[in-house]
Amino acid sequence: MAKTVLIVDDSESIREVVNFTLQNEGYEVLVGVDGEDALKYLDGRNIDIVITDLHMPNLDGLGLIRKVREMDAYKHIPILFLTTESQTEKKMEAKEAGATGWIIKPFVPAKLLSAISRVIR
Amino acid sequence: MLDKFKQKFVEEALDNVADLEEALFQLEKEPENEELVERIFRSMHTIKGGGAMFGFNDLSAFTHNLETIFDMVRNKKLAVDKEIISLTFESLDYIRQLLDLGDLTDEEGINRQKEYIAKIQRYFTPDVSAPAASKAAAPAAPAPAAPAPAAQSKKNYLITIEPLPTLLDNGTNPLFILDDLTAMGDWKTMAFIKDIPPYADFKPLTLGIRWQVLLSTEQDVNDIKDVFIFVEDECKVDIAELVPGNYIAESPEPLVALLAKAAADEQYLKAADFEQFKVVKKTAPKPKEEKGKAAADAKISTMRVASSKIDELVNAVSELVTMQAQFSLLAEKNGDPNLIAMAEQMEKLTRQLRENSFEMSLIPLQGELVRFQRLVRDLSKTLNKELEFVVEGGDIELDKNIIEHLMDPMLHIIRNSADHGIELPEERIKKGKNPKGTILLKAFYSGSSVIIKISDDGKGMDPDKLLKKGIERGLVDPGVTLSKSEILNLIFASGFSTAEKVSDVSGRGVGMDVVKSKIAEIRGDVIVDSEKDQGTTLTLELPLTLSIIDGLLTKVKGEQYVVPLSNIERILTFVEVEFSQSGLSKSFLYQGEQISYIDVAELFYSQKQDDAKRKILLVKFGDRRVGLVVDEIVGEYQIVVKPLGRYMRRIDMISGASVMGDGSLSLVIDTNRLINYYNQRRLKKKESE
Repeated sequence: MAKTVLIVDDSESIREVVNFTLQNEGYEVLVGVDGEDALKYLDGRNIDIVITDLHMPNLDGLGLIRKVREMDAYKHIPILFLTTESQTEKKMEAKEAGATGWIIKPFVPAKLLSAISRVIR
Repeated sequence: MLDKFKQKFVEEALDNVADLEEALFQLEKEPENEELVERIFRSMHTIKGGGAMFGFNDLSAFTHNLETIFDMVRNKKLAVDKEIISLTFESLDYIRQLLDLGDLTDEEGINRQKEYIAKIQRYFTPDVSAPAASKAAAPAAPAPAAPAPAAQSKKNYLITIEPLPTLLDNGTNPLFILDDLTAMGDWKTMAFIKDIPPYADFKPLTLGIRWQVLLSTEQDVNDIKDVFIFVEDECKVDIAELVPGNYIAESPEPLVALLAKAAADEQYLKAADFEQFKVVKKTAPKPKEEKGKAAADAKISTMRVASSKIDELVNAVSELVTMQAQFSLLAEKNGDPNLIAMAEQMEKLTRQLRENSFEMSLIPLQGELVRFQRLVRDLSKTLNKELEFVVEGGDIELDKNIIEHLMDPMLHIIRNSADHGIELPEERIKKGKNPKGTILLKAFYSGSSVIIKISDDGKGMDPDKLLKKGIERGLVDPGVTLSKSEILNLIFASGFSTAEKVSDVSGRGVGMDVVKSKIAEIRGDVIVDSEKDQGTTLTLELPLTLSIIDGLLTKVKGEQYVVPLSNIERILTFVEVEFSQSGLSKSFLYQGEQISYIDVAELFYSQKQDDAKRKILLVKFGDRRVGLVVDEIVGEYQIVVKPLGRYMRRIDMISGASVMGDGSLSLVIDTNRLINYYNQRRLKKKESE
């Protein structure tokens, strides 16, 4: 069965590239425009992985990660975040919030897919 | 692929710039508004990230610097002033230009970008390490070429992985880490599980396993560390380099023992444990001393055992298989769950033991074929022929007893090919053939049998000549029409020799009839095919092993008979076929083919049966099929075949007997001989009539 990916990013172009890449690879893709918007998908349905940006209006990436980890259904699913910072600080913060790993922007499709394959197979 | 998204990005970035402008106007009025700063930072961040993804590298580099200012403002390291705001406005105009231009190519543009960046960087200590900034500062400078990796051989690592019990909490699957590691080269892994609490206290979401991985890889330590990138803080990882050598892939006995001990003791392996695998560099001279030393160092990996001991082992295991079947049956009847569990365990062990001992008695054919190479070479001299002996599939393994039985027949076939098959060079040239004749030996597996084909490209056999000789020898009645394969099969009749005169090489009284019976002794079969002037092929079909076969247990008149499964093509019911009888030859029509059949009850007990529930086994007989009618089919069994006693040796249609699980006895039918016997008897009957 196709794996379901929830992508959350406030940038439409990033969303489109990620969405296009993942659908091409056969993933089911759900798209949230920010953390708040993404929550509507977290209604108990099957989601295999969340990929979220960190800087977003309304509910940012860290907030979203924490919320996801509070939900029983999604407590243990992998969460990757998109980041341009190579600073460890931001990564630490996100990992403490419960993220599984990260994808450094900018990325080419292959890099995105390899990061995903690190956490779901 | 990304191009189609580029336009989208530009539109989006322009929206971002407009939004930035609006936010800046407001920030000018309320410089303390944190929300505005956050909004500005975020927009810049989006432009930067997208810029790099969609090929606007200069834009991304530039925006990175601008973003840095607002990051500092955000973190209260810098206060917003009029200068910053006007600089940002100016920068926004420049960003619009870059969005229009794409990456800079002209020197003027590049210099102007440098100026802008320098202007912005005055607000903070330039962060040289930021890749985007450094790239902007020297966009033309190519990345320093990575030093060409020296032709490095594999390195060995011992990787100890101690995950925190909470590793599973953030969605990490530790098995993927092991997968990634083991994908890098040759590996061995060990799990340490003593931290897993007993079942009653077991918490599935708390990790209690630790691992050690032995990895032999061409990739370097950083590639290994990279695998752990997401779990750096949740996993204690120790990577130790081990002594070089190929021992991880080869897995010699001492390594296996070392791993087993570590697993049993739940004790980590240490780098020092691997010193023993250090390859002693051989210095050229003193070969004798070296040899002695190496022999002392090396653990014994193979040993010679008398083949009689292996025979004994195989025999004992065969007995054990029988005993075990009896035991299982007893346990089942008894119904005691403890006994049944034991019987199952024993069955598992027995199977393992059987497979091991069976494997032990296998030897590669190749080793025995060398003498044929030699033979062909010698023959080419004696016979003044140019001969080549080619072997394909010599690495195939066969039961040593089968190989022993095979040597004489193969020798005879090869001699025949060299002597009678392949023509003299001048004759071959006349026929337009390569003056050098080839004898090809091809061995391969086919189902549960091994096929050995020995073919030559010689003159082949002349059916007319064979038939004439057959009639001369009284083997064929004159006037009878025989098919080509029937004629060719005459060579297997006793007292038939194709050689016009007895020669040194092949005429030693050993005819093809002896070949046939020798092969039949090991439950094999010989098939001949020949085409005039093209050559002859003899195909030996052999079982993989002698002592244990897959058999179909059947009943005839209440007695148990086993038919080797490899001989059976199909099981038919009486309803499926149409019987017909003409004189003494009984046959039925099946799928448009007229197949003769033998009623086993009639043959063995001289009793006619008329039960329509009986079954027909369609068995192979050379290139034909013959039906064997039995009363009942019991099922499929692993059969340990034991030879019949001395008194029964002469009943050759029974190849042996087997003790079944319930202690009863069954006889193993040799279908080829049974059919031959039946045919001969029929012919005799015909004569006497």
